[in-house]
Amino acid sequence: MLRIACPFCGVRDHSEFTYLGDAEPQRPAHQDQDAKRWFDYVYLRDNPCGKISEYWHHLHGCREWLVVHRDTQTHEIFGAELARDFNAKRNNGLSGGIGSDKAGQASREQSSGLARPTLREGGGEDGR
Amino acid sequence: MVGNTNRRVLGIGRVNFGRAKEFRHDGKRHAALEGDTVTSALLANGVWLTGRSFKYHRPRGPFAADEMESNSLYEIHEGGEIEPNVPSPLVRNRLETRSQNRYPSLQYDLLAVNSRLSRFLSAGFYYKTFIGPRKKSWMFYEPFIRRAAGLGRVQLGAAATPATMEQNETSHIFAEVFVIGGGVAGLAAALTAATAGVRVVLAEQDGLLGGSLLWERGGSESELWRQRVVAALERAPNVRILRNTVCFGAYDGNCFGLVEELPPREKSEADPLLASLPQTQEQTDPDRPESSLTRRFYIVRAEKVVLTTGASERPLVFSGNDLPGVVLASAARAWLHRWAVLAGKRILVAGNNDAAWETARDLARAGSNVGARVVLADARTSGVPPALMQEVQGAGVLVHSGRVPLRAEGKKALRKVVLAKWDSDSHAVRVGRGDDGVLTVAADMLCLSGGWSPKVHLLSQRGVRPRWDGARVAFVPPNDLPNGWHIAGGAAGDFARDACVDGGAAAGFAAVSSLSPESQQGGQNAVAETAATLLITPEEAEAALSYDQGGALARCGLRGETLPIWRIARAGESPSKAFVDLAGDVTVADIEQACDEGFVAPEHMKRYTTAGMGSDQGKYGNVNALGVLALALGSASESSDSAGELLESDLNASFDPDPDLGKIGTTTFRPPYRPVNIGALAGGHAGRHFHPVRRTALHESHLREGVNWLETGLWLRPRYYPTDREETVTQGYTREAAEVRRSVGLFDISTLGKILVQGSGATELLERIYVNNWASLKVGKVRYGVMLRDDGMVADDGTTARVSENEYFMTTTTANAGEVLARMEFLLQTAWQDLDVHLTSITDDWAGIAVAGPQSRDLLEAIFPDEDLSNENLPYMGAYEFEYGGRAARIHRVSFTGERSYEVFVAAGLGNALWSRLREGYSTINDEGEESRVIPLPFGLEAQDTMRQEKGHIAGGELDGRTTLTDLGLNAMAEKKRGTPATGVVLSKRAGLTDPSRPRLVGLRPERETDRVVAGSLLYGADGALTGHGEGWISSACVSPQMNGSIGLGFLRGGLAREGEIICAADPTGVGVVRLRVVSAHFFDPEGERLRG
Repeated sequence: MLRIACPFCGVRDHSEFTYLGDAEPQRPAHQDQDAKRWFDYVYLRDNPCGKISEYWHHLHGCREWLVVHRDTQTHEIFGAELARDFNAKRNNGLSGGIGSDKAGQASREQSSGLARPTLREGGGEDGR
Repeated sequence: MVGNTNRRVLGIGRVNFGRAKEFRHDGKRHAALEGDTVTSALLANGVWLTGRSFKYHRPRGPFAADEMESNSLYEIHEGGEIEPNVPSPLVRNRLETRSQNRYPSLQYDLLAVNSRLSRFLSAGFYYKTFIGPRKKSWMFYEPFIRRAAGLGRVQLGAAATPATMEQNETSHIFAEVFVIGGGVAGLAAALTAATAGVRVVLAEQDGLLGGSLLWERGGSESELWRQRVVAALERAPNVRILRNTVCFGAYDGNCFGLVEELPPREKSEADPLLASLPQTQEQTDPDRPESSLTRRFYIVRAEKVVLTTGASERPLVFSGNDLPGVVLASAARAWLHRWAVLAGKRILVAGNNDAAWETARDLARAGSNVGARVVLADARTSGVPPALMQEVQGAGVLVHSGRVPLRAEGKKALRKVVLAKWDSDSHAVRVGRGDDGVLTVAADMLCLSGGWSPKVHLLSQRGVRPRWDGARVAFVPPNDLPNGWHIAGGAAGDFARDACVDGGAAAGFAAVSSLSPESQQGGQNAVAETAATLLITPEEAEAALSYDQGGALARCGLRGETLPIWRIARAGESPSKAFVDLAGDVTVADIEQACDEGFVAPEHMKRYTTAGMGSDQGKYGNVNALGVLALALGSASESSDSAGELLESDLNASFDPDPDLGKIGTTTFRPPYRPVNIGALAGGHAGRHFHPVRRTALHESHLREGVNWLETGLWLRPRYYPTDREETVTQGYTREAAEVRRSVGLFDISTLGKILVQGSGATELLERIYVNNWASLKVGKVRYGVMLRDDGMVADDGTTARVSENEYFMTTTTANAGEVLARMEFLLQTAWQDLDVHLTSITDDWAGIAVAGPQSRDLLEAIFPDEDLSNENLPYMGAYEFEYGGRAARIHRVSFTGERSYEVFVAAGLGNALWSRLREGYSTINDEGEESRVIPLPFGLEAQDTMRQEKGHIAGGELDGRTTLTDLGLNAMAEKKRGTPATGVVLSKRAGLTDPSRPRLVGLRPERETDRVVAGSLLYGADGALTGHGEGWISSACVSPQMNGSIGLGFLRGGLAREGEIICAADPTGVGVVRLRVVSAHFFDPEGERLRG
């Protein structure tokens, strides 16, 4: 069982999480109409042997999306961070990012204990 | 009756001579003592034949006293239930066991003819004989072969009864230091870690801690040490000891799977030797449940791991080495010292290492009391510690130095053994004259010790390959261990007992030290403290039984060398019926044949011969099998190059009598370490606990209405409400649908996904998610929306009400509720961080009732007389807010049925009250002035589904993830979009998805009224030629009361351009081919007049 250190909830079993995939491909801006860029984002994925950063959703926990840094070969997990922070950093690094201030603010609120309202649905809806 | 045989040695062992037990085996009564296992009791009663072998049905007897035992597996019969493949259960009164894999009886097994046919039943026999040339031959033969081979019988249908479910439970444990194996090293490691104050969990598959110490005579120094350490561990509040608990699997993240077998409660299996100690858990387990619980599945999450699983003894491989009476030396010692059984009178011990000498000494001493003689044959000619040699000779053992067993003879039991001189240089026996001559020894028990193999299985499961250590003649763990792992004792290749103590303590210290800086200090203090416990003072040693009588801590275990011996035969010959793997009936000849046929890699050899694939998972035979393979490869490359070419490794071209097994490598061990009961892993997750059930807020109401349930995902939803037991589903839903269209009905919509979307970015989020416009939606209005996946396929649909400027009450389909929420969360937390939106799942907070039918408004106006629900105030696609029961309530005037319809949402806790209130109906006065009462009819999913099909509305069958907006005829929604582009639209315009020849939504009716449209059918042309995948498929179908017959929705190439055309629908496993007419999907009220008025 993989054990993932959620920044909010601590070390948890991977069964509390759902998996999405590689976090490296960057989603085109929503107004982007370029089919090629969308195609690349939707369909083209590397299959690295070794280190990878992946999206995991803490579905049965805080429901926060995380980026988990992992080794595909050894299954070693190097750490996890909020997907907000990962993307805010990335956006800042590129072009100042869309709404990076707001993202920063969101994560500051999180860490200052201004908890968001608890989501009442534990997830795990049918159809999964 | 205790002294029924003189195979019991009085005053020894851990059985209670004062307490007799009785059990039945194969229908015969057997006496036993408290503490006996079925095997030990049978041996004490002189029963050697306990099973038939897997393939050849050869007579077999017990050979091991631990998890390696694969011959003596029993069926336990209890209360009409059969549990197969149980290795040596503890005897309790009224226990009933049976032997396995025999017909009609163990003594006269008809399938023993297989043994005569063994020449034909060699490796690969089934593959070669029964598969091909014709494909069907295997299908024909398989049932016969399955019946003949295999072990035990599984009672079908017994698995999920409530009784068996309650037998298993699951438990989770978090350990700072997890010690696997409670032998010498494990006890030392656990005590060291425990003294340092960290949370320690110690798992031992045996019912008693001590490992190989339990093979020693009671009262010895070893036993004194064992008792002291066990008592210290039991006193420590930070130590959890799991006995009878096998750690079967090691997984990622230092997680482990364990199964504890809880002994039946009837008896208290006390260890008499512990009676002198204060109350220990070995006597009374406070955790032992009162219930019928028999197994517990533990998941251990460990920070540090100390692997002290010990080592297992290897047999010697020679002709007839599977006869009942041929056993492992360690088993003979265990039977003697734990169960006071010495099953042989004329005992031969044969080996290549010191363990054979220790065994011979112990058996000879005990045997002198019961008239047993012991002979020892050691393949070595030197290297035995002098003290040990003296003791053995002092015990009256006749020693044949440099000799090995060449052949064991007997029919259903061992009668004699032929000994021959061993020649290491040729890895064969030398048969000549004089001293080189063979020697025949009469024997009824032959104890083998062919060397020791560390139990590295759990390491191997983690992907760590052991390395070959030629000096220790064993695969030992490499230096590079997984993160947080430490290893000590026999598992590390330390076969001397003092090395196990030291290594265990060191591993415990290392584990603690690596936890944290504080724990490192604790660890250092602990080492000093523990040392006092672990040390036996000279005075204590004096008080214990002297070393002369065995069991001295500092001198037990292997001191001298081990001589590598993989198989025993004359030079240039191959032993016949020499078994390498008893569990799978694999012989030396099988492995040599595999090698001849090119299966030279260990993993290939394993699969071709099944060596190591039996119930013992290769513990008994793996290393010997690799040795045999290495020798075969050596002689093959000597005689011809054909096999050599296949070898990638750089094996020498000439025959190597002592091959380096490291060059061959070993196979990978996978979970489970030993067979575990599948039911234990399932725990309580069986039957109705297999997955959780979601009940809607209106569950009680449905029960009162006499509902017929339908499971959809986790939800239990009303299917229909039968009028009586006779009414079928179709009768029920057509009745309900017709009644709703005539009057008014109630439908539970609480399962709809409901998401509260709040924030300044709420409108923009909906604009991006849905293909249609949202900025234009006025507060207090509802709109239907469709969302796409990024790849352009339709993902979900639903209606959303604008509650206020920045707040929306969004609904999704029941099935996709979780997915839609998770996807929006993902986008908001990653790419769309510019949107200030908060999402709350409110699915379970609201009960929802759809009130549908021409009289729906009249009903609601009667129920809520204070609210203005007129068509003007609450028109189609309007939303209304009010209070119900002092709580916020909402009405959305939307329709999925095509009727005038209102979705009423109230607080979940008020749902049942509202349902009852609505069901009271209302009074109406007709033109003649007569009063009558209108009572709304509850209707289920089937009726709802029928009515939406009559309207051509899409649902799950159409939203299957393969359909686009165009396919569904919803393209107009997206085309009207202004402003923010919606996600997925770009890729939905790809050429392949806009191809006019794609199947598109159509309505379908049978050409002949009596025919039926069947969902799932494939669509073909009118000529009825069923070629390829056809031109489309049927996604939904029902019997429509409005259309007076069967209708359906489907996807057809060309879509409605083919309206009026006759096509064929093929349902090969059902109704066959039916001719259908293509029609508009809007079967009923295409103008939508009924819902707007």
